[in-house]
Amino acid sequence: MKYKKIILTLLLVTTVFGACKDKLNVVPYDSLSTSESLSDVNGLSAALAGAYSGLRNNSYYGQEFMAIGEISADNVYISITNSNRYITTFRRDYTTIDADVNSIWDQIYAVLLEANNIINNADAAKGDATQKNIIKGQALFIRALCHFDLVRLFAKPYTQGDGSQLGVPIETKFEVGTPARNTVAEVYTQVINDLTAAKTLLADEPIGDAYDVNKYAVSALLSRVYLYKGDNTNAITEASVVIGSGQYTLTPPADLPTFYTTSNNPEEIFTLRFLASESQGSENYGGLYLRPGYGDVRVSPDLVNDFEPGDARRNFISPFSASPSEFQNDKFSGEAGIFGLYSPKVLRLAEIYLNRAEAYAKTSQYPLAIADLNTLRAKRGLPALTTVADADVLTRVLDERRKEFMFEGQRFFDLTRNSVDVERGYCQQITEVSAPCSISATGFNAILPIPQQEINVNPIPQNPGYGK
Amino acid sequence: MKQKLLSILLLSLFALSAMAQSRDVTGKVTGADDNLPLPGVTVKVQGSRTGVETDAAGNFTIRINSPADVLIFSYIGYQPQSVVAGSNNNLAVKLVNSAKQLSEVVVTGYTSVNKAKSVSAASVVTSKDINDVPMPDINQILQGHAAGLVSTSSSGQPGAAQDVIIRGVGSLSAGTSPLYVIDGIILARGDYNDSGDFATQTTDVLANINPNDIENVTVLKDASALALYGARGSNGVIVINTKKGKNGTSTITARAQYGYDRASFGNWKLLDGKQVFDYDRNVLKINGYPQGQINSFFPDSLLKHTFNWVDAAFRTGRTSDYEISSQGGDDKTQYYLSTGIFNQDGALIYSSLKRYSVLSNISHQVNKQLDISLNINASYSNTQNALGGGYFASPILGVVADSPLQSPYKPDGTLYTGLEPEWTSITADNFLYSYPLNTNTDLNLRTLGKLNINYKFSDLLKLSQNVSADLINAHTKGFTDPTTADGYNSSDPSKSGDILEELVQFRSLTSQSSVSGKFSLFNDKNQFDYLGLFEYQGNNDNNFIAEGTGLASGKLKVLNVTSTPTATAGDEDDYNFVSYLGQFNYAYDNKYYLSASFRRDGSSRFGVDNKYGNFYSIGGSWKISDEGFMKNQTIFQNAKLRASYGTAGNASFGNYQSLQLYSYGATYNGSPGSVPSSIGNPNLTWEKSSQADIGLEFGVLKNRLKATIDVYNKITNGLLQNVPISATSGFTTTAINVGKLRNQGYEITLSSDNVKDGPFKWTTDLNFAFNRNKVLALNGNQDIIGGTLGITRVGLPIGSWYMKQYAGVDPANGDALFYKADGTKTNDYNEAETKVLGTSLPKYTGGITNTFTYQGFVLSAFFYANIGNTVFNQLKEITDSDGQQFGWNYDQAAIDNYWTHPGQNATNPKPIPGGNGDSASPSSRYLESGTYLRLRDITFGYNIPNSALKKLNVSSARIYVQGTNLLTFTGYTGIDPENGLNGNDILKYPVSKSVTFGIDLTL
Repeated sequence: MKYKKIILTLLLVTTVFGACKDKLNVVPYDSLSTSESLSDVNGLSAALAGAYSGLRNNSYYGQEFMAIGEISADNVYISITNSNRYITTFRRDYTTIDADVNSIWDQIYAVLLEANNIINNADAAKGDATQKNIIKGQALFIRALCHFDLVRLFAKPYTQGDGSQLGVPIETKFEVGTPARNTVAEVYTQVINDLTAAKTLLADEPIGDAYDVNKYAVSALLSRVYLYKGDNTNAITEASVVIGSGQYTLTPPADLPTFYTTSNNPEEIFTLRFLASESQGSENYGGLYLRPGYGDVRVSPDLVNDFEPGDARRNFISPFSASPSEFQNDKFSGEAGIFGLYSPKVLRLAEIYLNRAEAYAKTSQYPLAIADLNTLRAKRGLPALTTVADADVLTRVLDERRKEFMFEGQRFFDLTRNSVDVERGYCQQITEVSAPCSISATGFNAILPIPQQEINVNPIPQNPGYGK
Repeated sequence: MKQKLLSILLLSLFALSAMAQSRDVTGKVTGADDNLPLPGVTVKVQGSRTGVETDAAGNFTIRINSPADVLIFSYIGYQPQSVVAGSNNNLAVKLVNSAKQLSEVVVTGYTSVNKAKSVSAASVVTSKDINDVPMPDINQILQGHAAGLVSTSSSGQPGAAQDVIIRGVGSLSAGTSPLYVIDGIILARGDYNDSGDFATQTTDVLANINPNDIENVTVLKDASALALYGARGSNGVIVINTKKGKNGTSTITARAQYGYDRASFGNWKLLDGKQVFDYDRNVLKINGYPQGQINSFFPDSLLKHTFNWVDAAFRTGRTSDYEISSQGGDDKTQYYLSTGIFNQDGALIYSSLKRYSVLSNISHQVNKQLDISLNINASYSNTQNALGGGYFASPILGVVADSPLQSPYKPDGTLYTGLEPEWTSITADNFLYSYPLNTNTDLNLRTLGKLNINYKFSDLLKLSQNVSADLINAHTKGFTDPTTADGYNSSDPSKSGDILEELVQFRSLTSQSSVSGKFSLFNDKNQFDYLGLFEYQGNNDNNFIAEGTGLASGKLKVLNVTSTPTATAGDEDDYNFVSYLGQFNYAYDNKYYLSASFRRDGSSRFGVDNKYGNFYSIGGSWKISDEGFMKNQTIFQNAKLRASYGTAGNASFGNYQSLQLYSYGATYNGSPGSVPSSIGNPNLTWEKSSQADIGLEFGVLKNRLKATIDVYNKITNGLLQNVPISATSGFTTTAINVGKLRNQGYEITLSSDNVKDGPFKWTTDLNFAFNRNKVLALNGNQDIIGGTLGITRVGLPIGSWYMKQYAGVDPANGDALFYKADGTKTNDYNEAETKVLGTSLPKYTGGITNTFTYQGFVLSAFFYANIGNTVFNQLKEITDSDGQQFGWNYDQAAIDNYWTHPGQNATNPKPIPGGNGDSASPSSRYLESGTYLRLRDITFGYNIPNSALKKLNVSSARIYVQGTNLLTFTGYTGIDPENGLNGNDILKYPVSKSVTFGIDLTL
């Protein structure tokens, strides 16, 4: 009897032991190993979706990147009662430990890794070569966009030093290292090379919706990059590729009111789509401008006064709901019935016309510049310009850009890349947080500091003016 | 009917015959440890209602019916005792103090060792300190009761998580909480409400356990005990034992408590309406705004409707606790059963915790060889969880963000929702309107169960099998009313309102199979015992989330009524441990003790190259006072010296960090997306600590003063460090085992019978601990600068503050000044030097309890002290920020001598709407001493004399009144110097002061 029990116990113990052998090798339910994940076309395609979602992150195109481009400039101000968001941006008085600066730096490099892993694994992955090329081409576009945005934020514009000034570290592969800052010119070369390669890889891609990058989106971005670089000839060439394709049409005034509350309109070349289920709640971009969101960012009367009568874009501005003597931006009131939700229209045809007009103006081809301007004006309910002095053409183009892209994160860069200072026509008023009335386009604070936490682990030089 | 009649007849006959043998028995009851007479002890004859009480000299006389009658002696604070009356007419009965009796045993969770024989440094907290305290969570109650344990909270939400550390912070990036073991069940998961999606406070690991069910808590601190827990023991182990039945008389106890609490704001005070009005206007004036604009922005009419938001956000909370328990048994079967209802309405409006708990501990001796026991501890709690302070709809933020010039009421007397144009507050939400409607509810069901079977062949060999389960079902419901600011969707009103629900299911199953036994060799002086154990623990954690928007009415509360599903998500994790444990003890002549243990642990969390680790310990103790040479001295009693050395690990970090992974949580344009989620490290393994401990226990003055002194040195190697790396890699940190940390300290526990003879008694219990934490090595000895406030640097303690040093106000222009490295001052924050400025962890912690007893009255006062840490008063970065939060409310300090004109020697920089540059950026301006002394608990109780209880058939009764946190002595200017381990005081739910009334009745 006793022995039976001992045997039973031993049996029990051995069963338990035996069953435990494999228990220590546990794999996650929501993840795959990096190598497995990037081993075939399906995996690459998911990684590409991941990279797009990375661009759309709140610290990048989802909110912060656009907020920096807008709030730094003269279109908006931050209300005296506010939720303490983007005040350092409004004043351009960043510390080297600024949380916004940290997060945008980290996020753009995170997306770079997402793109690099696709680019570097695509050739070896299993699957159809054409499909792989299309994925790789889009990843190259994303890599170019990231490098371009980094250099816009953290380095002096190309034209202030002819590209020899300090840029940002270029990343083309996964490495844990201490990469030095490349020059601005080197970064532009990398961006242009990536976009050029992308154009080839995407040559055979059918043109679908605006949510994925195609070859025209590549040309569109190239036209912008060349414009920033001061290479106006190439800017015109690439802009003409897009305009000449006939794939895109400018939104007529009648459709304009719903343009920003819907996506994939015929004008859109590349849009980072937010589905209703991907709403960021109160952090949706429109929430910065409107109640019941934060409603901190209000429209400067200086911008309101800049509109010509009949301009359909003026209708995006109305009295502020909680303070009717102020103005609010209604562009981003919501998409798919979700308050404040906005799918950032990263590239759209209006910009391509304006890019080309600007390049024409800078190369003294004034009638062509005015022609492009008038094409756009016609779609915004405005009469054609007839008599513009040659000397005023560039100013007209830039002023048109201000109104066309208001609140879309372009304004500050449009000023600084042209070495035009930010002059806030509405300034030091009781309605707004105290901030400087002008910001020099060549001043130290026209670019962000390199985050101190990066310098702590990667001793690259800080931008001058931001302490040691 | 007939039967009943018959039995009554028989009974009366029996009673008649019994009466014939009745006689009086007299005797005296004394305390077992001091032989002093015990007055007021209840003496009863088992099975009858007869009962008397001892007199002041401890004497009693009671009538019995037969020499076989059993007399039962019971007295509060002492173990009940049964004595057969026999033929002796003069009984001498010694009662054993229940608290002291319990402390005689050190329970490690795997073994129980008589304290005299133990080689371990352990603090035991007994039921007398735990029961009746009007707090839901044992972790709260432990504060100050065990030397070397620091328990601190950053929230007053009922049931909110506590930060607990034992002997200092032992890790940088892995968990620092101790391991919890309840009745031998290792709790694998701590916080179990996924607060991330709900913006609420986290729920403590022990909030579902009824403290009144706890018999004692043993805090294991030294290596000889921690090595038993191997890869999970390094942070210390808290072993909780629930109450078990005892052989003897059966009792039923009922407890009831009712109390009131108010939020405690300490030295903190906001401005009133008039002060805000004057300040706001003056700030605009000194910044050159035209008077006309100022008058139109701030008209005098604002003063007609000022409002005190703090008064509106806080209320008098109520705590009630009702419990019935029963225990008893015979020599074969013992049981303890209890059920309780605890209900706490927090001091913040609409926050509460309701808990229903059941405990059943039953053991049965089947035969001489076989015994079996079953423990089941089940509880269900319903928490109304306050929204975190970082949210605009939270009253915690609302009280500072809503200006007192903004009334919550419209002119017609109804509440603003926050959506109206006239509502000027930045919150865009009136919490008085939204908070009652928008709820966050945690519904947690936790069941702990253990079946234990022992088969004893002989003393030499015992087989034991335990199977235990920890099952958690945590359901969180977030409801957002469609008419509130958070719920209203202006772009599509039909999509207003939101319901978000999450279900977390956690399952931890443990099997322990062991052999143990004891034997002697050569002669009786050489005693050995051993334990060999195999343990497997499998854990599965899974959850899913569903969310929908579009509610036709705020009265509809389930997902089914939402018009549009907006989110579905779910996740699952597994992690397992496989362990082998051996322990061997040797005792010689009951004077010398030696204990050695070994554990081999395997964990699924670790890298493929490092799945298993080995841990060991060795310890010894020497009972000096039993030596011959000590026989003639009278200074020391019960002196014992012990020492131990050993290793333990820390495995509390993410499950899959060793793997290089792509996570598939992302989506884009309706397609699944993947992103790099883990940088991976195949060498990842546990942190390993080695600890040496020397302890001395002794009594002096005829054992009236008892002391335990421990000195320890604990070094943690292979620190898991989230090493910051260049963000250009796409990651910001990588987890590697590098670095070394030391915790050194001493602990003193004293208990003293100051006055013991006579009716008045006074005892003092004191514990005191000092810990010095020092980082010895880091990855490449590089500083880790965490976030914006802290630094980890070789040579410094963990939790060191690292920020700019504030240098006051520039009289010329009102700028804030900061010190540069060369000692000069600058107004450029970026140019200023970043310096190390104190640490958030206390150097000294301690508790002192004084208990005074007179007749049936007991007064006890418990103070807790926390000394030598620095707190970052981050709330002042908002409320005293020189106009940065213009239009909010402000701290009283903000209006104290602020700069208005050149030449002024001001205390505060010039206020500018939107802030004065970096004046409110992190700096020593907001660092303050976190030292405090708190009257944590004061209790006045009265044991009602038995003479008064007799008629009620009650054997004992106690009534008491208790105060919690009534007094705090501190120089801290914020709400409360207690701010969790990170010492960061920002928008938290304040702790409460409370007064509670209670009654305990035992039948």
